[in-house]
Amino acid sequence: MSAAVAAAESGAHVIVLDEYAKPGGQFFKRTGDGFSVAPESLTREHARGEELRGKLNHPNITMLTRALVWGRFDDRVMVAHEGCSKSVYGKALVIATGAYDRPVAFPGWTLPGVLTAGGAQTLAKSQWVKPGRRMLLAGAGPFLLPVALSLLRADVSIAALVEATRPNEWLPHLGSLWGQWPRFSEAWEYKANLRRAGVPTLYGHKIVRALGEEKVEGAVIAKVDNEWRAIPGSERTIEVDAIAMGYGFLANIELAASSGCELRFDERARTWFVMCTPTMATNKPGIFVAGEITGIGGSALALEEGRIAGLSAAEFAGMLTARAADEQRGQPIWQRAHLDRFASALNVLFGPRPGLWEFLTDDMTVCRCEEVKAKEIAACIANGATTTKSIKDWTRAGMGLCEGRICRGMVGEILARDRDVALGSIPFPSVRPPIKPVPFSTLLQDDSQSESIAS
Amino acid sequence: MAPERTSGDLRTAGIGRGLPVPVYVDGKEVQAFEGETVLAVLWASGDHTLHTTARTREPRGFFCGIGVCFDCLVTIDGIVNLRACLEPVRVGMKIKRQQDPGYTHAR
Repeated sequence: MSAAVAAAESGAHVIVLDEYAKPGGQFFKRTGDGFSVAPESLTREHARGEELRGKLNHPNITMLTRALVWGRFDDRVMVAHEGCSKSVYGKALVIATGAYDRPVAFPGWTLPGVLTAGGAQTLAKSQWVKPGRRMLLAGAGPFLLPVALSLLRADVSIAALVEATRPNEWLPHLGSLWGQWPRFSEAWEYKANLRRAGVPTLYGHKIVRALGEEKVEGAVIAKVDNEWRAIPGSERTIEVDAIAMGYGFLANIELAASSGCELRFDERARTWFVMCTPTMATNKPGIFVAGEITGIGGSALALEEGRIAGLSAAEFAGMLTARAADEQRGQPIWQRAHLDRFASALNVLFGPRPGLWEFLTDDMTVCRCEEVKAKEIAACIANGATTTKSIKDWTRAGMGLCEGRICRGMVGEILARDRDVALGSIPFPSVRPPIKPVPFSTLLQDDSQSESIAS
Repeated sequence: MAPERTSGDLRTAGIGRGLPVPVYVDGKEVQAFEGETVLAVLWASGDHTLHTTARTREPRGFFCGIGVCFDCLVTIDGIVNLRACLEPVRVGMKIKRQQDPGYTHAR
C-alpha cells in the first residue's frame, strides 16, 4: 500500500494487484464487511490500516483485489482475476508479497486444531471465531504477544504461552534494542494484558506433541536446552483443543525468484530473501521489492521500504528526477536503517535453533500436501539426492498444491543434516509459473485486454 | 482448570455480525453471516475436519489460515480444492467437505 501511494503521489499511474479480498496484507488485515466491533476491541493497527487504505483512493491508483499474480513473462505480469487470466504491463514493478509463518513439524502437527500463530490470529481478529476454546501458544519471539492478545479479545482461554528462549538470553542484546522504546512499551503492554488474563508464560519450553485422534485434545510441552532440544523427562501434558505455533516467518519470494531476481540466504534466519539495494532495487532493472521479502522486519520497516520502492519505481518510470527521488528517499532510508537494526537483533535472538528440527525423522509427515514422511526423504538422500528438486522428483515432496511453501524449508534442513552441508549451500529451487495453482478454466478465459501503468 | 466441553458455536459472543447468509454445508442449511469466510463458518460449527487426505485418509483442518498452505480444502458449488480460508460466503453457497483428491468425489 505504501509503495502504491508513494508512486501515485509522484504522478505515476499505479495498478495494485492484491491476492486478498482487501488490501493490507496480514498486519493490517481488517474484519470482514458486515461486522460491527466495539472500538476498544480494535487495535491501533486497525486505524493505521484504514488510513492507508483510504489513501489508496488516490485518482492515480487502480485497485484489483482477489487478483492472483501467477507469473511474469518479459515485462508483463499475469493475473488471475474473476475467473479470467489477464496480462498487465507496467514500466516498473514493485513486488511486496509478504511472509507466512515458518512451518515446524512435530508429532501430531497435521491434526485439525494445530495452527500457525498467524492463522490463529487471522481467524480470531478478522472473523471473530475462536480457533479453540482453550489454546496453547508455542514458539519463539515477540509475535506471540499480539497473537495472544487477539485470541484473548476473541474470548479464547489461553492455557499457556510457551516461549523457547529464556529472558537471561535477551540481556546481551539489549544494546541493539536501545533506541527502540516504542517496541519495548508495546511488549510491556502485551505482557500486562497476559498477566491480567492470568495466562502463564513458560520460558525455555516448546511443544513436543499434539494429542488427539481426529482433532487436538491436548498438548505435550517440554523444557528445552539452549539449542531448543527437548530435555527428556521434562514433558508435561496440558488439556487444550487448539495449538498455535509461531517460530518466525518465511518470505513469499516465489514471484521475485521466477522473475529472475537474485536471492540472498540469511544465515541466522535460515531462509532466503530477495536481494535488494538501499533504494529497494533488485538486480532486474525495473523490478523493486519491499517488505518481508527483503528480510523479516515487521510492519513499520515494511512501510518505509514500500515508500522507498514506490519512489524508486516512479523514478524508473520517468515520473521523478533522480534528484527529487533521492531527496524524498532520504528520510525513509534513514528510518529503514534504524528499524533494521532492531529487526536484526530479533533475528539473532529468536531465529531457529537446531533442536527445532529434531522431529524430522522416521514417520514424521514433512510434506503435508503429498504426505511424504521424513524417512522417505532420508532414503532418497541416502540414494544420492543432493538437491531439493531431486527429492521432489523422487518423493513428490514439494509437488503438491502449496508448491513446496510448507515443506521446502524442512526438506532443506534434512538435506543439510544428512549430507552435512550448510543450509545456504543448497540452492533455492527454481520457481516456474504458475507460482500458485490456477485452474485451466481461468487460463482458457484469456482476457487480452492489457492495462499499462505509469504514463 | 478443566476446559469447557459445552457444544455450540465457536463464534465470539458480543460481536455484531453482518446480514444472515444462509449456506449449505454437506447438504444441511447453516446460518452464516455477511463477511465471513467459509473457514469461519465451518470452524465455528466445531466439526474441524475439512477434508481427508488422498494417501492416508488423514483428517485435516486448517494450518496457515492465509491461503498459503492449501490445507483447508473444500468443495464449493461443485468446484474442488478451494481454500476455505479465502472464500467469502454467498447466499445459497453449497459447501462440501471433500475426500481428496476432490475431483473424483465432487457432485
